[in-house]
Amino acid sequence: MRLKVFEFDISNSVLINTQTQTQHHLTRTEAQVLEQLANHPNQVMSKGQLSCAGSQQAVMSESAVAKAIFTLRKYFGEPYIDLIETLPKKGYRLNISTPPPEWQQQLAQRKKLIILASCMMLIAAITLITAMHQYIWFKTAESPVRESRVVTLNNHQQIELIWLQSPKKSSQQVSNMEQKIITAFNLCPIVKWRDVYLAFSNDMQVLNISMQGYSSNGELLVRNIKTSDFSLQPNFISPNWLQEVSLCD
Amino acid sequence: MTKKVQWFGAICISLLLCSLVIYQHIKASEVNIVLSCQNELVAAAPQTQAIEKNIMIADFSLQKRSASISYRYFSADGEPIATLHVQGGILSAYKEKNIYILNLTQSKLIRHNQQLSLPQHATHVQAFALRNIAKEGVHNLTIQIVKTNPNKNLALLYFLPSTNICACSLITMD
Repeated sequence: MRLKVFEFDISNSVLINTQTQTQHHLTRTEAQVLEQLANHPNQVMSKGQLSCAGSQQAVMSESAVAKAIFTLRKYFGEPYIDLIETLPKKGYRLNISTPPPEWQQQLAQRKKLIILASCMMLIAAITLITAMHQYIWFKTAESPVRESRVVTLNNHQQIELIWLQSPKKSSQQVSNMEQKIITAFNLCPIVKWRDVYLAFSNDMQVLNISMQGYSSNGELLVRNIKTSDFSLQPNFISPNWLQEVSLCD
Repeated sequence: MTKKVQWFGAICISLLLCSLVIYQHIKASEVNIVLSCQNELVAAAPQTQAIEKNIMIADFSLQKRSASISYRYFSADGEPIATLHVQGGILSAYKEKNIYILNLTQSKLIRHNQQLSLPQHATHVQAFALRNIAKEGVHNLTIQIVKTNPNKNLALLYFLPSTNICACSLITMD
């Protein structure tokens, strides 16, 4: 029986230190105590249990057990003095760990490898996502349409005015501009346009008008007008503008 | 199975996953959109309030991962004035929301007729693009297709950060 560096020959009651090749012939009591401890590795054995030596009745006294332990420790020597551990008021324990079977070792190794590989893949994925998040994740796109309303003109035609988002425009500017556009459309005998999209540029220097409609023969019509006004108080639609840029056609 | 083989396998799987994500990203950013937009440019002279009219045709070509925009300026009589070419790449394409973020890195203005004055729009766009390219090395432009008609031949574009709009003929869109 192997006990760390010691080989315990039960049949001949001999304890051999395989490192130093020293042999110790054990007494009957010492051999019985060591056999009991070796048969229950890492388990606490009371003096009473050890004194029974595996039988129903005590075959030695508890003091004989203590003496045997003392002798065995002496044989183990200083480096292995803790091979037999004393647990006060409980007993003794042989500190020896039995190596797990080979398949268990392989399984443990495989588990370690799987965990390591998973961690690596996780780190790679996190690194990749961090590096490419600007391409992968998008903020939810909001519709740039801010408001729309249907306007009935003097000739009972209906057009939809749709404002797109522009951060600097005020509701007063929107209202003024709408009024000017409606007035301009009211001057037309017939209006071809159905949807009128309006947007101020971010710097408030350009008014965008995009109109969509249909001709009398059902042909799709589109018109984009970009009006620049770089004055301090842009007017965009002046009487002169209305004359030069007719919204009717 | 030796440890080396297991490690090799784990690294191969990681590389495969990474390649798959990158490939998906590259494919997702590839677009094929060609748009042409005709605009009437109207500018009021600050002092006289006299109206100056020009025509501008903007051609947008988003092919695979490259982007090119040509602004062609004409007089009201149809005389070519200048062409402003802006080129670069597609930073990202969010096809489901119809949002395309362009990284424009080159800008070139070609004058066709020195006698005719350059429209304010051309001066404005060129100055803005050149300033951004000189300062940050790139001029970012986001194009959002707000609406397309049922026949898919007309698209309303919304531009950021300028917040301008434009209704354009949709020539190709994959």
